[in-house]
Amino acid sequence: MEIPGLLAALFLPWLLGVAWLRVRWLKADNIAWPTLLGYGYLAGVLCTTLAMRLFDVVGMRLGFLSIALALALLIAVGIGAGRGMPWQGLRIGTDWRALVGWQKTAFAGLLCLVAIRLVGLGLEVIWQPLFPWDAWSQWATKARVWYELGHLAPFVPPEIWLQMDGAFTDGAPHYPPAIPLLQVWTSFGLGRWDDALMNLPWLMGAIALAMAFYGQARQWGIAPLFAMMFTYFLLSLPMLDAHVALAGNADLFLGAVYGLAAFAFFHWVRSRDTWQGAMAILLGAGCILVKQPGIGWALTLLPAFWVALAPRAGLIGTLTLGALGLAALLLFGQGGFSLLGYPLQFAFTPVWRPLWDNLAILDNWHLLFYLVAAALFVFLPRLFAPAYRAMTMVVIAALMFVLALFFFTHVSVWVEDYTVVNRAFLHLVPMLLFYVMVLFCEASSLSVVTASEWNDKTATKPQL
Amino acid sequence: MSSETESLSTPPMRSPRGKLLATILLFVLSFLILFFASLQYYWPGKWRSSAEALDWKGEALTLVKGQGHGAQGRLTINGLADPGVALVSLPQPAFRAEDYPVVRWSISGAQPGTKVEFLWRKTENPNRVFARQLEWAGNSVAPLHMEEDTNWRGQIMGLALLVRAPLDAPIVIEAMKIEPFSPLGIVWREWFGTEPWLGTSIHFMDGNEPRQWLAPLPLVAAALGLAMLGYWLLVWKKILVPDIRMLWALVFIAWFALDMRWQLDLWQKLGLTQQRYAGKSWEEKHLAAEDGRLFDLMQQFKAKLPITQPRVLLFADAEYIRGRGAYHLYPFNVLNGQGLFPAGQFRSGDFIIILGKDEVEFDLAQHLLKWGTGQQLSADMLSVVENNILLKVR
Repeated sequence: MEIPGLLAALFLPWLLGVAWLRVRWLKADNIAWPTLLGYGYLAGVLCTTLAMRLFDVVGMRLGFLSIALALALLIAVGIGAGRGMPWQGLRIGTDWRALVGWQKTAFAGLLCLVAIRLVGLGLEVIWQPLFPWDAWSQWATKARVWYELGHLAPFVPPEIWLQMDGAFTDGAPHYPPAIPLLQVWTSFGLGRWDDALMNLPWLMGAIALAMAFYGQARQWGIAPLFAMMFTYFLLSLPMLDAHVALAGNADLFLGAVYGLAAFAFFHWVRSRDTWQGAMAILLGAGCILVKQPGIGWALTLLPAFWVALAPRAGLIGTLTLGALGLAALLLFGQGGFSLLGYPLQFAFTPVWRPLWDNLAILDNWHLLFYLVAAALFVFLPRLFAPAYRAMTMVVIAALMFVLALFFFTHVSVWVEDYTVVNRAFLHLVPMLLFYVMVLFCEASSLSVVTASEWNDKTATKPQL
Repeated sequence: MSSETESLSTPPMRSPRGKLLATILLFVLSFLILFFASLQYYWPGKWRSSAEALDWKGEALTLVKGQGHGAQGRLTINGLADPGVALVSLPQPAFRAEDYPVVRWSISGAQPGTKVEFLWRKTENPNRVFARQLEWAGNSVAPLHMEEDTNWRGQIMGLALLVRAPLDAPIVIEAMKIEPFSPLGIVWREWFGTEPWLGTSIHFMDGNEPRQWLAPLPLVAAALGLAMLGYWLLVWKKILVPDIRMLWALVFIAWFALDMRWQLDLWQKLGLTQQRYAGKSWEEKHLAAEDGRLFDLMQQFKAKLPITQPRVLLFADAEYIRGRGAYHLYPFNVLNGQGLFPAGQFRSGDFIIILGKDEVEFDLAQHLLKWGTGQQLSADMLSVVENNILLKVR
């Protein structure tokens, strides 16, 4: 039962996401297989955790069979709602025959590098018992209790715990339940508690992120080899790899969900595809389910939506609101206040050195931030051109969010001891890498088809 | 498509293989220039060492205390003498410590928990013995890097190895090697040294050890910049034709170089993980982990707790111990803290676990737990393991 159950726990959410991405009203008829699979998995796991929460709300005991049946039913409904959508025409993302000899070799080599990395990380996930501090102090604590009890027993702060019965406590009782529920669901599939194997969704999450990245890059019209090189760049990032190998923290999932929302938003700005817009909104909102700062990440997409829908008003409005916010901070922020659960105070802490060390000296991100600096410098005059301004707004809002937390809140203490810098950047790195890839590709004309040509399946173009 | 795109699909002036080779050479050349320039900058004139390593086979060592035997070039220690130690000495060495900063023991067969120390004496103070504990890296021991150790200075006159109890399985000493100062060795160690996953690995990479030389990332980034400058010069001189793909090839090679170092590191980490955990159940994995004794202790305490989900309050000074201890106690309803709460906050039927807190005392005769300024609580002691106790509030 262990292996089939485990496989069911890993693949049922995937099927759920894939089935619902093909519903007719999303109009995802131009989607590529890697995109479908990548978005399908992450949307599917979020839906699975929502289904578990619904079960708990209506008082049903959580268990493998009940949840699996509900997922199967939802998959059937999704397939029914997607009847008539063509499957045979879906692209795999690469026309192998169109690549010339050395490109085939290079593409296969990059694919091998990615596969080797994933196999190694997968073995770490399987062998390593739960390791990261936050994972065992605030995530798996809930998973263990909910798995054993079969319902979402409440978690409360210690001072409340001392006064009441029936509640549990841990390092972060207010954190959302999606991550522990994912571990609970995997444990149900496995049929027993195992704090190594319950983290296999982290490996699946990395695979889904890579597939979505590659698929969306190809859908943008970026040449297969270039798209694969950037997919390799993404999966080779040491901090991302560490969060797969030492699975159990929420940061990888938050980065993946936010990244996929941003990729979809970039596409929607360009093509106004219904399904891309829907994914941008749903996964953007999905950040809130993953981790408390997800609220902030979801909000960073709003100015960009505004700019995309009403460029002039959006830019002026965002600048005005930003200026008003800054003024309010200067006027009223000296005494400190609370926002999104974070105590904020306008007290500037210069944390340049830890930032510099972590982005440019220590090998946390390979050459990513050198590439980002080069891209922003080279393309500075074009960043607010009509084609890029909404995308640039996402990047600016995300960077402002992180930097404001680092420089103006108590988070600066954790920046100085290096414990938060890279975990916060992990949330925005997939989006940032996609943005940099698009800038470089557009500028060096390495995209071989435009979005409209991609939609025209009869178009044939040379591929780099 | 644009004319630039068309040019991508037209035959290049040189073969792709030739261009790729030129790109690789450009990057390698840039890297080597910076590599040797930085070596010269950090260790002017000293980075080529001619001194030879000092090494001894295991069989050449003398077992001063304990039981064992030498055979086939190795020394096997299979028993300890009183007071639970074995001592091995080396033939009289004679060297200046500063010239030989790396000590490498080839030892195998020990179980986790066996403590092995490297001892030395110096001519300036022959009665004083200095010691450094060897750290296990999987089934072998990590080399000792002594350059930062202020006791590793002057003329060395005696070297030894001390093995402390418990010795559950024989230890085999294959060889011992003392390596001379080598900047290239330092570079190798800093760039490719084996490091297990650490608590900080989820936060940052490579930042735990003080560096004596350049970190890989800025050096590779600088090499990439130099290679791009070189490429621009070659284009300017019309030796190469401008091709955006060459620049991307340079970026890829630089990224790939960094990533191969990271891949090697990942493989080394995976090897250590495999040695420690592969093939074990989840409980066995926790027993084999660094906090295996804590896990075992919590399992013992859990066995004494009723299945009715009582409140469990765990106290310990170290944040890691109380947090990790609490994790091992779930799904019991556990709260952890550093200092004991006022007595009024405990309830009858609560279970209290206290891990190694000296300021707390338990009066066995009166069944009283006492702490702080006059705080006391009536409780029964259910279990005691070393200085850790499990109590039930009356």
